[in-house]
Amino acid sequence: MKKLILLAIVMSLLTDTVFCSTIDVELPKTYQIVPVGENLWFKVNLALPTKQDIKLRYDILDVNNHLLESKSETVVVLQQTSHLAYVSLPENLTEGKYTLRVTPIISDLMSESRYAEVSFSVIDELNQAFHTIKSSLFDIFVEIPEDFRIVKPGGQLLASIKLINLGTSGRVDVFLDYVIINTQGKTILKKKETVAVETQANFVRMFTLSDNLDSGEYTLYAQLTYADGKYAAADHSFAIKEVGTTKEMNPLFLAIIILVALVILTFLGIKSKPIFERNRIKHKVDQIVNRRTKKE
Amino acid sequence: MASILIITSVNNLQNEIIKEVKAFSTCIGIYVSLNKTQKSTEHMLSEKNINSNNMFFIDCVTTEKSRDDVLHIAPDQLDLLSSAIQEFIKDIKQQKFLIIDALSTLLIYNDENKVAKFVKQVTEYASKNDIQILAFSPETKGEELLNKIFNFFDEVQKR
Repeated sequence: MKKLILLAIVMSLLTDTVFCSTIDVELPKTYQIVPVGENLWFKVNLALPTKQDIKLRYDILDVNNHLLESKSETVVVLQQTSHLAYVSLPENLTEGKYTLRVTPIISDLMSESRYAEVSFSVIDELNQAFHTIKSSLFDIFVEIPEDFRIVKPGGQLLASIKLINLGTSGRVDVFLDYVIINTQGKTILKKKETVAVETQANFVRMFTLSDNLDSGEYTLYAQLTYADGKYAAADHSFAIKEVGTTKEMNPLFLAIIILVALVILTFLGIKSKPIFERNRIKHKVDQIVNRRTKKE
Repeated sequence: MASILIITSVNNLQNEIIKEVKAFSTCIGIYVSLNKTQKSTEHMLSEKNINSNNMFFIDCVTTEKSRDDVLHIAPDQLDLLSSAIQEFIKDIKQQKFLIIDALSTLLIYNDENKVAKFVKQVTEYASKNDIQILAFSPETKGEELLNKIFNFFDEVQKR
């Protein structure tokens, strides 16, 4: 018995060590009331002490905590991650309140001590919100203003994002993924967010870049996911330069450099003038003597 | 070949120049004209039946170009004047001599030490290349200068 208790304590400590962190689930407003048979879209936010692969289990429970539907998937978690997921609601669900539970599976042997839950409602018919979702057609535009197209490592990248719903107007919650990659395709930054859009949304986003990035060309990709997996994407390139740009150089310092350059050029000009003159005289004398010699 | 400094009166200067140029009529001359234009100098020589066709003129009096084969150098450009003399000496292959009329005229445009330095450069170069130098100076002008440059010449003659 003592051994079993000891094992439980060790496992619990191990769980805490491996999974000493937080998990929560977000359900956008549009998906809080879902027609039967539709997909339930949600965002899982995870924070772990180290980068690791985590198996997540998504359970749909009724008011009596009976399991109605379950789905698992493995997710790569980079210390802090937002993961977009969905679960198909069974066709035979009745109208009422249900619970989505998200549980990280560390080991089959361990008890699942940590999970996140959120409630939602199921309705029989397609409501206005879902109708809007289904008939939405989004486009996305990404623009990096000229002043931000050259950034120092450790600097901030500003991007203007524009979302346009070309379909039926109405509020739709969309999921945005931002990724910055280098020319080799390596991901240097990832960010997710959920945004509510009626017909159009314009906003700016700041991305803080790591200060150990190499100089070079990079691309900001933005992907918009909505309405049961439909998506739109856009991108814009920028450059990272280690040396400060002319814009950032102190104007006084620049003026001093120009002044020093002018002084040096003037000095060189003065110094080189006698050389030019001597060469001119030499050339003239050569001409005179040669001409006279030819005549003779 | 020697370097001679001839000190004479202002009135006698022209005659002494003519005398010496006549003596070197078989050689090619490099004439540095400091108190007359090249035109006036040529006229002076032709009046005395001296052929100036074997002369290369460096005119330090006027910048007006009358001929292509005359070099014009300002009298305050002693470095260029020295370079020009050296170039002529280098380029002229035949036997030649150098004549500088009225050395003291240079004092109008340059300080004594600069002129002394110029004279030293020219006499040294000419001596290295075995060239006869004839430098003239009116005795009433530039006594201090003359005291400085006496030693640069092989011979000083008072006429």
